Amino acid sequence: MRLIFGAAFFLFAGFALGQQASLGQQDLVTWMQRVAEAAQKLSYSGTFVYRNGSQSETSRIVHVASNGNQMEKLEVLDGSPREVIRFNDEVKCYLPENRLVIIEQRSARRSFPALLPSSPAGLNDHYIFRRGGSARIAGRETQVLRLEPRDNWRYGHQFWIDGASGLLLKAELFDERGETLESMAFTELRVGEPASAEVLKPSAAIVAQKDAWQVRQAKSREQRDDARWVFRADLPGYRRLAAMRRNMMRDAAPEDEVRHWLYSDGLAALSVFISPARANAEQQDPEVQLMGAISIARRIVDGHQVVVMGDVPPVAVRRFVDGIGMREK
Amino acid sequence: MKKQLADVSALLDDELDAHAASPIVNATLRDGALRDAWQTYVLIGDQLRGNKLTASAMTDSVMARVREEPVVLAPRMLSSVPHRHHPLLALAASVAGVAVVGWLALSGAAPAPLTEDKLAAVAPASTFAKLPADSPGEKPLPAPVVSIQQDMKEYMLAHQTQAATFRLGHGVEHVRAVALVGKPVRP
Repeated sequence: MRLIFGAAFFLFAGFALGQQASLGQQDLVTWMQRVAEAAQKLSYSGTFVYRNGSQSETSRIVHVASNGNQMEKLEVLDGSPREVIRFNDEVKCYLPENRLVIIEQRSARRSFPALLPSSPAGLNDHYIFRRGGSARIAGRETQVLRLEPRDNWRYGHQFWIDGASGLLLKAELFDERGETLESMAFTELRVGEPASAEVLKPSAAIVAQKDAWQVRQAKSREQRDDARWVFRADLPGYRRLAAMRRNMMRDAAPEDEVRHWLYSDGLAALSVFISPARANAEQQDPEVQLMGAISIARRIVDGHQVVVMGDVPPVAVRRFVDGIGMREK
Repeated sequence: MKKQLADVSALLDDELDAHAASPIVNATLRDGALRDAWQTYVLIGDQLRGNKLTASAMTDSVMARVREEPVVLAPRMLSSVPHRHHPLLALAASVAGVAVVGWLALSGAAPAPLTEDKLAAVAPASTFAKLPADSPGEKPLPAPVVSIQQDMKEYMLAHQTQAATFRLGHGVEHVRAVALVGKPVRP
């Protein structure tokens, strides 16, 4: 009998709480603006857990905003001591197991909120926004926002936003069945505490590595549209944000540069990489793989390897890679 | 035994208080004869109340519905009218599901293990959606990657770095890249 009452209670509660308020485009932009500004302008440090399927990793992050500059260090505390250190647009990724430092330069000029006004109805066309209730994350009261996809070309998002600071304290990515694909959640957070420059340097464990490190500086420069390549697939809502050339491979000749295009619908992102294929690479059916929530599709097109990857469903990268071809001379 | 049967009957008729019910429930869980009696009394009660849905009929009807349920194989454009998605309704459904399963277990009428042919009949053909109709051919299922090639690591980092510019969490986003590029390298 208690079970029946319990189930009935949950059904009623579920129905009552399920009537989450739908948000308008402007409400969403306001919320997102606040979150993005908080992430850029506040100094904070904390510990968070990243979950991806059955795997989870704990990391520590220190972010310092000072005099218009941003410095940041992310340190993975589990497994190999990987670190990411950012100074404004330069990102250094230390991978000790590979003795490899990869230096990346951000090239996109606009940050998230600035993207929205150019497509005011865009997000609303592809996501349903809902404002959920409040929840407590890392000892702080948060507001829950949920963005449900209207089609299967993108995943859904749920955000927990700190009411006091506006920082994003928890984020989940979910598929069309509502199952969580990955999540990131702070377990502890301090906002506004000063951090010394020392904490933003590579940790002693990395500095102490005696073996030679390989430094891979992935210089990228913006490119005009490459007329040789045709993108026939048109995923609703995704538009091109950037086009770059990258010399990712060591001693790469200019003709071997990797072409990189970045697409987004405002939340989901998708990259296309095209590089010369190995000599023995043959034309083949596209191969689709999953790396956590990242889907990867690749195929060989006219002696080039085409890779499409992003935090989008496998069907989206497959559709995109299928539509890429070389223009006939 | 006769008293225990009477107690089971009283329990089902909601005539026992919580203190008296607990030992009867425990005894029923231990004793096959009492479980049989419980199931019989439930069936009798259902018949008297006019409920025709017995435990086995419920299982069969659920399995039949599962078999009949179409598998969505292609991305679909949803209605432009926002659909109601109630997470807590899913929770309530789960709770209700647990209640049903618990009841079946307690009554000793749990579904029989699926045979190979039944398993084949209800197992989904694919975890992932198939490609849209305008994409060519049958496509293999994506397989989770346990090791990745070095160039994929660099692509991943490049993708995450550029994408993080317009992400909400900024630095936190990099954890995805380092978590994934930390996997073993495939030659």
